[in-house]
Amino acid sequence: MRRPIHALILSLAFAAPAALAVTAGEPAPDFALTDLAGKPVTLSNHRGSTVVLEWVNPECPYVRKHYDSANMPNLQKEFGGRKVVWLTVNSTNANHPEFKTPAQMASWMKQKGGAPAATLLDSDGKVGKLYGARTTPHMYIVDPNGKLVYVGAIDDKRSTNPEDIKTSKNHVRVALGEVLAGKPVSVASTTPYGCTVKY
Amino acid sequence: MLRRMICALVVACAGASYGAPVRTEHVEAELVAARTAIEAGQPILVALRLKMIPHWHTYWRNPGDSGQPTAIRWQLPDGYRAGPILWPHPRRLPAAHLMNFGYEDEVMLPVEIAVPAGASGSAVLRAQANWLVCNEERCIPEEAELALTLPVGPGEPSVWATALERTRTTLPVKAEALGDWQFSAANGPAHVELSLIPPAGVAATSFTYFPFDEGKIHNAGVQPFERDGKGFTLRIPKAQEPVGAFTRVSGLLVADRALGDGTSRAVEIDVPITRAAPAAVASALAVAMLFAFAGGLILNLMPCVLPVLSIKVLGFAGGGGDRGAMRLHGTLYALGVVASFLGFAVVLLALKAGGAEIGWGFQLQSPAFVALLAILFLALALNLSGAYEFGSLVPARMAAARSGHARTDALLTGVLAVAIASPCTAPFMGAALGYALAASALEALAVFAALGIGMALPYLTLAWHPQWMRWVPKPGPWMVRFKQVLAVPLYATVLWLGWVFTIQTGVLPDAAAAHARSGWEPYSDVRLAALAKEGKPAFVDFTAAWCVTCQVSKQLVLGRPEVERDLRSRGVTLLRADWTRRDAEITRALAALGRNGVPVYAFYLPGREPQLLPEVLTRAAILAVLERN
Repeated sequence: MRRPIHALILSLAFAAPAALAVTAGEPAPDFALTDLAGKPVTLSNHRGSTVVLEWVNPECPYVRKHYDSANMPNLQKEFGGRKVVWLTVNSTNANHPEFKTPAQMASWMKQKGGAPAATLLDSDGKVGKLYGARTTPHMYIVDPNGKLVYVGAIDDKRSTNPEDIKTSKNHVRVALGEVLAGKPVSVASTTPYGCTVKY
Repeated sequence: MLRRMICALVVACAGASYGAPVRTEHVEAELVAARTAIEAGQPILVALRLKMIPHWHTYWRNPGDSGQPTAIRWQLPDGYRAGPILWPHPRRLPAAHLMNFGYEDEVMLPVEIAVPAGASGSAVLRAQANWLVCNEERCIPEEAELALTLPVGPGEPSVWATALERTRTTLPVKAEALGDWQFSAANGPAHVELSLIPPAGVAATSFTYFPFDEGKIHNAGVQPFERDGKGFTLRIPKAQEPVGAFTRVSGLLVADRALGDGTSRAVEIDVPITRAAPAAVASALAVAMLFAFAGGLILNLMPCVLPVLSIKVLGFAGGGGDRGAMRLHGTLYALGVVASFLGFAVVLLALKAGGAEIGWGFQLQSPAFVALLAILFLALALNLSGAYEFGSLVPARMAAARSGHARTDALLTGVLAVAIASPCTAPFMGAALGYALAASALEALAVFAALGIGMALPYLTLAWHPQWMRWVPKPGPWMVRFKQVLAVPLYATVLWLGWVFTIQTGVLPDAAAAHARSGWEPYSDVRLAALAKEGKPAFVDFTAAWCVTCQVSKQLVLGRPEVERDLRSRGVTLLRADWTRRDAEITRALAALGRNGVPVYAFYLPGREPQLLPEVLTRAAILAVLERN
């Protein structure tokens, strides 16, 4: 009986501004956004692949930590090569001073050497709210069956200092390794850290 | 890079305390001490003082949905040791639909530093402080190298002594330090319910919970706080994306005022959530069932139940001397009541499971149901008035069949009584129902059964102990007149149902037009959010035409010009949430308050949790809230 409720609540979330969240172990709600070239991207199209959702805001110091250090671009390349579909989502509101146009997003991503399968704009925040994305970065992993298997932080060192990356445990790398090896994810949810998503 | 490294060069000056504030783009930071000198062997209180520019904030130890707690790395002379930051209680800092916990304007983060017994000369206390400073739009990580030089020897209170003393009143104290508190916490599907009884002398009227751990509570969620018998209940919404198990209510309770003479507003608590222990669940359930039972008893006195029960009394009075029949009758009535409560619970649970946004009293939101009920009542009233007799429709020789009818009749009276009772969410019942709907299906059924038993018991008792019916007048010619008198409330009910029906079907000018005349605005989430943003208080009357308790309060309290004046003169905007028809927005607003029935009277004060007023509304209760704030 739980599934229909969940689907119903999620469909309500699309209609209502109220924020709802999703939890590891639950089905990942489908969404449709457009990439920087205006091409539609839906989650359900990638059923059968492992999908990473990464919430991003180029102006956020925590995002900078992981992009300036090439930590995030390297993860995107490493797992992109292993057939993981990496979707980077920017939910910054169009009226917010930190909003980036598709062209600005594309040039920033290029400059940082990022290599996600797609960068998606969610300037009305619908998908961010649907997933309960609170921070940048906020990471989600969806397994090939469309189930969320990881929700939370990129790693276990809450800081803006790139030096901390060397000594931190990258939850996303660990979880992706486990998913690709067909193993259950050992740490399925953590507290995300970063800037507030600028809804 | 927005990172800014600003270091202060500090020269140690023997004989005088010396430190220098460091200014970043958003913050002025410095180390300050309460005294001008260090005493060997005595701990000293040193604080990191952060003065933020307007509208920017730094974070508490649990920053909430985002952010980062301020951190201090000490470099101290040999033998000196710094303790942890003694965090002042934070404020809730909303950002869109998210919530942070932190400080605006200025904050002192005190640290106790142990001083060795052999200290002499002077000491340079060095600290590297890191903080994240944010406003609603941006977040900047900043840091500063700070130092404070203090001589060892006799000193006096420093220029910071008063400010640090003031900071003490913002530091949480252990709850036990203020006296004997009683805490217990129960786990529901969406909330953890913290019950508390403060010690005598604690005059707080509201508490807000700030958890030490992240990922446990829904940070931005409303925490409804209600008086509950001798104590209070704080409903803490659980995280929608929980990280780890929520097993303890461990953190701060921050009151709306000082908890004692010159003491803090915050107490530190650590209460286990005792759902895992079956005894605790049973007791929470028992309490809910007790409330439901009491609510059921009171339902008998509600204006919308009394007419039906009057018929029932008449049934006893007319039942003659047949004890067995009377008992059967009473038992069937009780069964009818309990069964329909359970049936209602099953339907409610099924609908709830289906995700429909419904609430107690919802069946009267359907015009078809109201029309049917009105016709039924009209039939009953006409019968009582003597327009026709049920008996005359049944031939005398079908005596056996009639007894069968009597049983069905008894059962149906029970069912009918429940159908009519639903809009009268009597005092206590709101809470019990909220509990039941938030709890598991079995618990919900138990609570509804208790409600039914409470309602049926007085009549069951009368049926089994007819000697107690001595107080019920003996049958006689008065019965005809009595019957006719009883028809009056039934006619009134018919009129009332007709009025509800016309509003629902839009035959009469509807609620919106009435609002325009009365100076009450119709409720909307958008309007409420706009008022909150403007910093204006609002009073919301959650009501429905079919809710008798609501209509009584409206006539006796809210509709009185002096009450409207009380509210308006204090700049309170009056909003009416009319739930006569199904309305998802209002259902959600009620759910946010932990309720699913009307009446609910809520004060929304800017920057504060909504405050609920008793369901039996009085002018005094409204004035009390106005005076407190």
